[in-house]
This record gives sequence, C-alpha cells and structure tokens, in this order.
Amino acid sequence: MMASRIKWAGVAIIAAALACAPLILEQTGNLFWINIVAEIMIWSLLAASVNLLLGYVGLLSFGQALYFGFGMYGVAIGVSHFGLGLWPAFFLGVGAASAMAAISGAVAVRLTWHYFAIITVVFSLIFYFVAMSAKSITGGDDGLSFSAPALWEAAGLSLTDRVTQFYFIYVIVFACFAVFALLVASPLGMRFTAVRDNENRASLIGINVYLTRWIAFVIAGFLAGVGGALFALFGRYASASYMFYHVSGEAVVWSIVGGTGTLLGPLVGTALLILFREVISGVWENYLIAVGALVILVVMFAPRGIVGIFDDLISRHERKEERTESDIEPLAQAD
Amino acid sequence: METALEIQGLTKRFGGLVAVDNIDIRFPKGILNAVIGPNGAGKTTLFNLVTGMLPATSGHVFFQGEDMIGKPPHQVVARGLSRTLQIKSVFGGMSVRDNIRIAVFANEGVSNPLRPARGYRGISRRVDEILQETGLNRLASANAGALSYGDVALLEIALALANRPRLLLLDEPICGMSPSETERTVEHITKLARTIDVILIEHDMEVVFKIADLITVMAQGRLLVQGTPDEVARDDKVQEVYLGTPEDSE
Amino acid sequence: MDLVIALTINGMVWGLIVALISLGLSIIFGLLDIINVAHGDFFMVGTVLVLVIAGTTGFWVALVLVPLIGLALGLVIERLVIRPTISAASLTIVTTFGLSMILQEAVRATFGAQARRMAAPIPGTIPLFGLEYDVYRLFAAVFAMLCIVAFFLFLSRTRLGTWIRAVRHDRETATALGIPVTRVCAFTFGLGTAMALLGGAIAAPITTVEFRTGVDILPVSFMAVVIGGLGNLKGTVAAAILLAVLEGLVSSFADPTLARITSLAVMSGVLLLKPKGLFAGASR
Repeated sequence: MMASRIKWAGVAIIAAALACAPLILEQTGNLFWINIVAEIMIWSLLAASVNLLLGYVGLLSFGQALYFGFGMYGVAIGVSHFGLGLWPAFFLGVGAASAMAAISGAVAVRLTWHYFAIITVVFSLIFYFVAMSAKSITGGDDGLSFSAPALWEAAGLSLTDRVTQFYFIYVIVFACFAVFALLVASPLGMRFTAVRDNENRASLIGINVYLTRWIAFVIAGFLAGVGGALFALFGRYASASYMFYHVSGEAVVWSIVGGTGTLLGPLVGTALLILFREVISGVWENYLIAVGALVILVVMFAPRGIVGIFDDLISRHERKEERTESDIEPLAQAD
Repeated sequence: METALEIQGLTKRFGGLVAVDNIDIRFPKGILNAVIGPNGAGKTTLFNLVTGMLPATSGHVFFQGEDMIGKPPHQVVARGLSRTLQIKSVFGGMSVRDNIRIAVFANEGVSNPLRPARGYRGISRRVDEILQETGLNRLASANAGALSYGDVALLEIALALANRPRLLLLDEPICGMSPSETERTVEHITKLARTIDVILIEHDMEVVFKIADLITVMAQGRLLVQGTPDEVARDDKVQEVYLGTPEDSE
Repeated sequence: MDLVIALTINGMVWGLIVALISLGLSIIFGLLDIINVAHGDFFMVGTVLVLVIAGTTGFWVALVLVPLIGLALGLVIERLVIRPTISAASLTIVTTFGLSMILQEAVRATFGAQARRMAAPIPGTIPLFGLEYDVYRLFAAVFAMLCIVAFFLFLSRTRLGTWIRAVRHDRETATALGIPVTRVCAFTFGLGTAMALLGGAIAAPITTVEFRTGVDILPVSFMAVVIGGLGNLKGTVAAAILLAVLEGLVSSFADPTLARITSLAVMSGVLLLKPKGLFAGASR
C-alpha cells in the first residue's frame, strides 16, 4: 500500500532528522537551538496528550496542563524535598500524573462535549490555585528551582551535558510516540475510534463507552505527565504558571495546527508554533497577534491541520489509483 | 413453549406522558416474532427499554432467565441480545470491514493495546464469514458513510450478528428501501430466523403477514392482541386501531 | 462585623457586574453553542476603552459609547471570525482562544503593559452601616442592576428579544416560523460582547485597568453560567451574586485563593450532580 509506505517514510525521516539534529547544530555553532528542539519534543508530548483525547476519542480537554504540572511537580518536589534520584523522581512525576488522571478522569468522562471541556478547565484551575497558595511547597508563581538530582552520571555520560540531555529526551519521546502508534493500530485503538465515531452504536456492539473513555484519559494523563517530568528534569525548575489553562489551550492549538487524529500532528504543530514564536518574537514584539491570527486562519481554512492535509492528499491520490486500476474489472465481469 | 423474551409489567413514563403502560408480553422461542402498531404505540420505546438504552420506570424484562432492566446497553449486548436501530446508524468514518471487525473484537473481548488490529487471524476469519453471510463482501473496503440506505441496513444486521446473538431485535429493517432491496433483506431475515430468535418491528404489513409466525400488536403503549397473522387480520380491535386497510410499504 | 458588611456589599457590587457579563456569555453559549474564551478579554477591552475615551469626553459619555462600540465589535467579529468557523463545532473554542490572544496582545501593544487606575467619576463616600462607603461603588451596583433589568425587559418585551428566546429554545422551529436565525445569532453575539464591554466600563474605576484582567474574570463568569444553569438566565444572575458575595466573605477570613478554590469545587459539584444548574426547575 503506497499510502502507508509514504507515511512510514515520513516518520522515519523526521525521526532520523531529530536524531542528527544536535550533531549538526553543534557543528554550526547553534547550541541554543539544541535546547529549543529538545523543548519542542517535550511539549509535543502535551500536544500528543490532547491529540489522543480529541483526535481519537472525540473529547476536547482544555486542562491537560494539570497532568503536565503533576509530572513537573512530582519531579521537582521529589528531588528538592525528598532528595530522590533521577529515575525515582521521574517515576514519581509520571505516576502522580497518571494517578491524578485516573481519579479526575473517573469523574470527568461522565460528561461530554462542552461540559467535559469545562470540567477539565475547572480541575486544572483548582490545582493551579492550590499550587499557587501552597507556596512553601511549590514555590507558587515564582517557581521551584532545584539542583540536579543524583544519578546524573551514568555509563560515563553526564546528563548535564546538553547533547546527552537531548538524546535522553529523544529516546523517551520516541518511545512514547512509538507506543502511541501501536496503540492507535491496536484493537483498543479501534475501540477509541468507534466511540468517537458513533457512541450509541459502540455501546450497542458491546463496548463500555465510559470505560473506554476513561482508559484514554489515563493514557493521555500519562503522556502529559512524562512531558512535565522531562521538563522539570531538564529545566530543573517547576512553576505553577505552567498549570494555567492558557498552557492547556496552547497545547490544543499545537495539536490542531499539526493535525488531530494523526500520529505526528502534535510534533509538527508544536514545532511549527514554537519555532514561529522563536523567530517572530525576535522581529516583532507583539508576535502573539500573529499567533492568534494563525490559529484562527488554521481553523477556518485548514481544520485538518498540516499532517491531516498531507494524509488526505495521499489518500486521495491512492483512491484515484485504485479507481483507474478497477476500471478494467467491470468489463470482465458483466453481470 | 420456551420463551425468547419475557416482559413483565414494563412501564416507561416521560414526565406526564406514559409511553409504555404496564405491559406483559411473551415472545416464544424458535419462531419469527413481529411487533406492529400505529405510530406512537411505543414499539421502539419498548426496544429501547429492553436493550437498556432507556431507563425503565418500572417492570422487568427476562432474557435467558436474567432481568435486563437496569443493565447498560453494553452489558445487555454481552448477554447475547442484539438490535438494529430505527434510524440506521453505523460507524460512518470506517470501512465496512472495519465496522464488522470492531464489533467482533468487542464480542471476543479483545482490547490489547499493543498488537496491531490487522494481525488477528481468527478475528479476520469471522469478519469474512459475516461479510459472506450478509452479502456485503463486495463492499468490504467501501466507506460505511458512503453506502446506500439498503446497504447500511444490511451492515447494521451484520454488526448485530457479530455479537453472536441468541435474540435479534430488528427495528424497521426495511424502512426506506427499494423493492429489490426489500426482497433481499427479507430473504436475509427469514434465513436468520432459522437459527436465531428474531423479533421484528415493521410497518410494511405485506412483509409482516408473509414472514411472521406470531404477531404482537401494540397501541398507545399497551398490548392489544397477540396471535398468528390470520387471527390478527380478523381481530376487530386491530382493524379499529388501523382504520381499515394495512399501509403499503413506505 | 463592619468588615463583613463591607465585603458583602463589595461582593454584591461585583456580583452584579459579573452577572451582567455572565448574561452575555450565557446568551452566546445558548444560541451559538460556543464557549467564548475571549469573553473575559471583551470585559478587559471595556475597561481600557472607557479609560481612554473618558480622557477626551469624560466618563459619562464614554459609559454610553463603550457598549455601542462593543456591539459593533461583536458584530464584526461574528461575521469575520465566528461564522466561518462555526461548522467545525468543537473547534470554535480554539477560534475564540486565538481571538483572546489577539485582543490581549493588541491592547498590550497600544495601551501598554502598565496597569493603570481610573479616578472615581463620582468622588466621595457616604456613611453606610457605620462605614464610609464609596459613592461610585453604590452607583455601579445600581447601574449594573438597571442594565440587567433592561436586558430582561428587552428579551421579553421586544420583537428581537422574543426572536432571541425563540431561537435559543428551538432553532428549527424558529427557522420554520420565518425568523432570520443567522442574523439573530449575529446580533446575539454582538449583544453579548456589548454586555461584557459595558461591564468593563462600569468596573473600570473600581479595578486595575490592564491587558490581563480578562483572564481573572473569565472563570468567574463561567462559574456563574454553569452554576446558575445553562439557559437559565435568572439563575445565572443569582449565581453570580451568590458567588461574589461568598468569595468576598471567605476572603475576609481566609486566603482569597481558597475562596476561589471553593467556588470552583462548587462548580464541579454542580456540573456532576445537577448539570442543569442549581436553580433547575426555576423559571427561564
């Protein structure tokens, strides 16, 4: 099948390009950009979290920053208050995020449509305010800085080195996207699509719609949590401001611009908008106006997003080929 | 005679409106049952209550010895009771094959998140069988959203079959079909009724009187009469309710 | 005790202003099915515009002009931005999010990032319950209340108001009756926007005027709409006042953030247990 071969080629190219990026950037002396690409990868997990819910299960969550925040604070508090090492802190962050998703998901997925979006914002706001007021633990708005956790050096590679950091992040993000890809092609993935497509029909063929949505919610929380944990580990900083609904909103934008319902959409969208921000902000101080306009234009003219349009083009091309092939058939099969 | 479905004292109230009024009906096993009645008689509501799509105000529905009232749809379905919908609705974004595949996955309880869906041989075989049985194999790769109305109705039946049902509730399966599609579908239904218990809601009297073994007539949320086609055709109450000649197909 | 009374009255003042804004949000949600994330920013634009215009024409003229500008702004935005994207149902929230970004940044670019305060148009205080209370605040409360009453009168007594109610109740029947639904929706968006800007204009002298005030008021308005019940306008007014008074009271003995958390928790409870709002069953 031509279409899937093209798509896999695209995935391979992007994966390879990212793998080579730090080496190339090092050569050209653009060390700053290594950090930007690493940042893009981390944030793409938040976008992927939105994408899983919106593009595959049909639920728009405007509060995924909450789970990002749990991942972030799990690491930050784990290291600064409990003196945890790298991996224990990481797992604490991811675990906290997933647990929170499990609990709030049980409540949130009982609602649909606008109510679901509203309650996801409400939950994230509640914890934002909690984080803001528990300043002694969380550092509130000013944030919590901490020094590198133990076990930074492993197998002779120091994780404070920019490039090593990059590859650490790369491997984890790659693994997450790989799991995502498997998930989407699996029976569980088909179950998600069925629930999104026609909820009524899904329950009539024996699918527990509530449970399916909850599972998706927990996985999405997990992804956001990984993003948050990585963010804290490499910035060595956590702040309540990253839990605000604006951050969740940006993730929704990244997901839509890149293309909801696609594998690499979140990555493409995040990359595009963060690069856009980095480039334009240097030129125009009020670049946010351009970003806002871009968002509106995308919804108006390209709601399928970049990767979505790409996918559509490939499918259309493939269908055209199928049709020209099958033109020969009817002559041989006159009924 | 054994019972396919037993309804006891079933009532559904919407505020002040009583859609289903304390009904008792027995649908015997091994025959083709049909439910008829004028619009507003509560037939589809009955199906909705039996399958858990609507909560009942009171009453019981016994299937295989268990009360289905209070169970959510996916649990009713899991017990072997499938239905098709009056307003035909399938997974429009997927191919016909995938529609059936997801139903078979659900029936087999498979939800492994890490194995590709295409890789399940046994499942694919069952999907092919169902495609053959319903004659949908030539449309297997077609997008379900692009199907003709008649084919969507067939797909609905295919989805219901994927559940390996012991009882199949068909809600106006030939509504809106052309004469040739009607003929084809009726053939399928009579073939099905030989191995599965079928209860059919229909408005097309010609079809009902031709294929049904036992007809249940409802009116205004209540059971009016239950009998063979001859008995029902001669019954005064039924004639009154329908004001004379049976309607022709829509 | 005096503090409690003062906070309660403050709460009522804010509650009435928030009620005005929330009513605007509610009709937009009710008719166009949009979660307007930019609604708080419309409030903010109102505060900024009244400050700027008052510099030339004085406060009172500005107070009249600002909602009119709001109406025009709303109509333009509806036509240019909302209508083309309304078919992509769940994506309209993203559109309004983009709009919110543009509004905030545009104000920051033109008005500046510095917060400003506006002098009270009616200076002085009045002795009330043993405290010196700002005359302007009392005026603000009364004026907001009059606007709310005018709004309800508009809805029930005018033809356009009746059309709005009809479309909100049953869009299809309204179309069948020959009501120009698209234009009614456009006007509703304009009206909702105007109400937000008006709320901002009234509130400007008692709050800080800067490009970020929208972010604070948005959750509060949403809370009022949800707790009051989507589509239940009177419930929204009641909820707005109750919430503001509650938050005011809680702030007197606890962290204001805690007050906010409490309101949010109540809102979650309502969404889950009584999604039709606390006042469901009450008149529409």
